[in-house]
Amino acid sequence: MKKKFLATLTATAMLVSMLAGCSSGASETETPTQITEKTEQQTVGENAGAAVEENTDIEVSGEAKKLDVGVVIWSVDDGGLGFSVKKQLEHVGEILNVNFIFKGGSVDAESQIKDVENLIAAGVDGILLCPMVDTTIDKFTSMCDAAGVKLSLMFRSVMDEDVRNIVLASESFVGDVCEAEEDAGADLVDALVEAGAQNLALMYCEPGNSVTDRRQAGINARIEELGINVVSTYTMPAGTLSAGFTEGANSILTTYPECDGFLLSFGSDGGIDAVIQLVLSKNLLGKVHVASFDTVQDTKTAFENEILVAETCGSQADALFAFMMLYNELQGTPLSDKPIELLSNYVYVKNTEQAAKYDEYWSYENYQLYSEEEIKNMAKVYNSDLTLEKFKEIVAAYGYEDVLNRLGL
Amino acid sequence: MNENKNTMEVKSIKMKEFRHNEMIQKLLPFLGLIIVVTIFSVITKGQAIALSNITIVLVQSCIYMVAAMGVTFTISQGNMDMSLGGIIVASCMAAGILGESSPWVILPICIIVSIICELIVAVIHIYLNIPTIIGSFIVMYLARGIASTIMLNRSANIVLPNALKTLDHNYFYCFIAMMAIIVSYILSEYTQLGKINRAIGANQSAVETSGVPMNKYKILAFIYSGITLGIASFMMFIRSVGVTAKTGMGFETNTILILVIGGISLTGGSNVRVIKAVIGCLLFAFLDNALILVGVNSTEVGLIKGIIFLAAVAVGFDRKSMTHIV
Repeated sequence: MKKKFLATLTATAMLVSMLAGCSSGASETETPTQITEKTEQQTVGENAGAAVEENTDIEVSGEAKKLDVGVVIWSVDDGGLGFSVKKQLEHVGEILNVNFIFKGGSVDAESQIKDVENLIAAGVDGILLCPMVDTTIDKFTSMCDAAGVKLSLMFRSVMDEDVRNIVLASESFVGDVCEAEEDAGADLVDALVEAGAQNLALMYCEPGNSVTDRRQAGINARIEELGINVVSTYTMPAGTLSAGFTEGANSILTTYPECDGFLLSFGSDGGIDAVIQLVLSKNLLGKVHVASFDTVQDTKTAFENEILVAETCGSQADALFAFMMLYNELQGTPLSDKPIELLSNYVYVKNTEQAAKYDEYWSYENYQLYSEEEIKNMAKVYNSDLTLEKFKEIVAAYGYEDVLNRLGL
Repeated sequence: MNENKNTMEVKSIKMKEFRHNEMIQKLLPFLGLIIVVTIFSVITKGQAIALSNITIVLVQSCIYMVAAMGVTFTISQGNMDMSLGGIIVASCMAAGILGESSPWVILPICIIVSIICELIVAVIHIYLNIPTIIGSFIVMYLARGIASTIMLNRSANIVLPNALKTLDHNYFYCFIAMMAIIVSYILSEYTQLGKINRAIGANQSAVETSGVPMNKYKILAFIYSGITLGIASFMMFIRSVGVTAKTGMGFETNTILILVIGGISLTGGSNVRVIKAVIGCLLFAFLDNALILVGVNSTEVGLIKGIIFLAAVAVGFDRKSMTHIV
């Protein structure tokens, strides 16, 4: 018994020492003065189109502080949007000298409250948050107010009027970025109709999430306008995994064999892929089409099989814009003295060619959505000419054509 | 005579060794908590034991602590209850919907619904002779399914009434948890309920043949578990400022883990103590918190927690209590 106890003590000490060595701590506060780095990246802008190695000297102003930022998101290893957000922010962190602590996997309010509490205790300067339940947003702002930590929301806006009034009056709230969800919902309906679908199955998220609520409102309005038949509206909890989507879609196809189109208002964590795989396994190519929000893991193949007709994707830029608002605030050079609420654009992918380009240029394997120079241009501490209006122009310009143009393609 | 003397000496040595090992078993959870706290305090340069951080850890552990108090009663009988998360979402949902007319019914509804669900588990176990783990899974799926169906067909989320938002305070959670610990400790250590529960877990046949009304005590344990779970649901509702279909997800798994790392045997028996559940809750919450202080990302947290929990179980698990199952 004694030996077991000592062995465990030693193992625990070794394990925790390993932790301290290999994980990035939240307690470093050094301020860099000059950093020069070699970067090997595909570049955009001035060297467009050239796949070359480049030495990029990054001069950091002496006034740019090293920051610790917590990121609370549904997942960072979903292989889709969450993963893209993490890759993107890590790239930005290297450029701007920001240490990110990612907290993924929390899909209910209590877990996210714990995450925010622990990040505040860890001493982060700011938090970038995607709240799973809108009614908790005012609780997050009051926690951040008490701690003097700044908060920026990604993929969300505050719709509830009572919560909104409290949040906008909060000192910690920097702003939020989300997409024009109603319009996107209507566009997806149009895409399915164009593909010939007349009997739609809607796979919806539970009410209470302002993003999916708005998507669904946009879809419903467009369906009513066009008079399309809806065979089934299947509602699932937020954070439903792929197995849940498979079960739901399978039930729909079994019960309603006339169903020729699926429209998903959410599909992260493999949900869309599950529905596409089901259609494939039932040999319904060309007979049943799918349109969805969020990102398919293999977009190109999904279009080649003529199952997927449209997806809204590329919204990882939302997280970047929300972070840059936060970054400017934390550096003491805020873009505005009031909370900023912005609408970001989706990238629509509607055919194989677009899908191939999306898979290549939005995957973060060889390309970044914004180059180092472009990212620094969004930071007042490096670009003193930056104003809120100019930042809004950058956000408004983002899209499929914008990224390809900046890459020189 | 020499042989008798030798036998007595051997027995005496074995007795000393047994008491020694028993004491180490009892101390291990305490020592485990102290070691983990010490190590992380050193690594975080004292940040982990700052008063503000300790407060956070205590508050985060309160809901699990209240629920675990009741679960120790059922688990001391050897009954593993996996219905906790489903009961939480069902009771919060029922309370939230009925509370839209009057917020003061929320706590009673949480408790009543939880008791009803736990009684269903008890009935399945006692009268249908189905192991609790299976019966509780049935109740979990039923409860979560009913709650989800009702909530998914609503046009809006269930939110906490403004009148109850004032309860969302550290003192409230800590006070309730403290009361739950005190009451549970008294019931467990100084009443027949606690003693007979542990006797059932240690040797159910002996309790049965001794003439003790075993089913009555089993039902009482489930009722008490329902009461504490109802209070925990109420606390969850307040802290989360509302209910969604995902409320309480994974609660049962975390609670079982808490009990195990606290040194409680899942087969019940004499080693089930309220204080071990308290230590398990604190250790669980502290680890969650400390790993973020150290800067570990969520992708690595699960792996590290798994290793630490494996170590805790490997050392502290009461293997002797499993022998009668094998």
